Amino acid sequence: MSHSPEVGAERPRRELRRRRLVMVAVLATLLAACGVVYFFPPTDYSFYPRCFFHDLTGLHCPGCGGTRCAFALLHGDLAQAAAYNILVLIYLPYLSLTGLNACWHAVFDRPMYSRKMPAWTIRATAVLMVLFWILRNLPYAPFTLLAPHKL
Amino acid sequence: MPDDRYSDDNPPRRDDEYDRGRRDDDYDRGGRYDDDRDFRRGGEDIPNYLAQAVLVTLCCCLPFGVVAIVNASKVNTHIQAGDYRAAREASDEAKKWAMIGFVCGLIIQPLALALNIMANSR
Repeated sequence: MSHSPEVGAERPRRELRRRRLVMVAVLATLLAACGVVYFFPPTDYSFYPRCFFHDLTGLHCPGCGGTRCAFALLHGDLAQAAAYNILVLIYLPYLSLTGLNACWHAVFDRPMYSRKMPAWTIRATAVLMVLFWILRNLPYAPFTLLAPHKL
Repeated sequence: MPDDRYSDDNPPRRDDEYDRGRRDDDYDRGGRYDDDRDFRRGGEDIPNYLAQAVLVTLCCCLPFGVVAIVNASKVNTHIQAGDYRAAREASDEAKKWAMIGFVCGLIIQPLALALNIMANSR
């Protein structure tokens, strides 16, 4: 961030340029990643980054099964996606909406909506993450459904 | 005695801790952060970085993402309480931890991948 005084109108324009650049970069990466995941099933190819937490401890982290979940989603298999990682599925609408809002902000120079989520939902997110991390590693009957599994 | 008459040529010393993460257009021409802006807007453009925090937690498998989520929740709590300065600070914390998690993920994931390939080729 520049500390030198500038003409006021220059700053928002620079901010907008930055937003557009970030949007294009993120969308391109996302599209490329979706293409790779769509055509190369993560269950058959080993070039995907593996979870080092799982490699080290043998336990599942909150994101484990995420790539397989994305593959199932891209092929329209919702049940299988939920079986691999239900948290990704739960947060997908929120993440998509936030991403859409960011794109809107970049294109039209103002956000689509600026309503903040109530504070308790975000505290719940933190609790949910940690709970999910613990519960999906428990070897008991209902919790084993949270660990990534093939239907 | 420091000269306390501020002008465009002599802007006040900035509180760098507090200024971190401000948007460029949050400053007037003298380079001062407009403290009242958050109050006028009801804190609506204080980002909480929750989406980034969730993505870091899911993609990088690091506890830093959880720290970022906790700070993201503080942002909204402070906004609801009308404490916009504290909300700004929590926002900066959330951004910092999401960034730390992201960079750690960027470093660790390729390393893990390389180790894996080496282990498999033996």
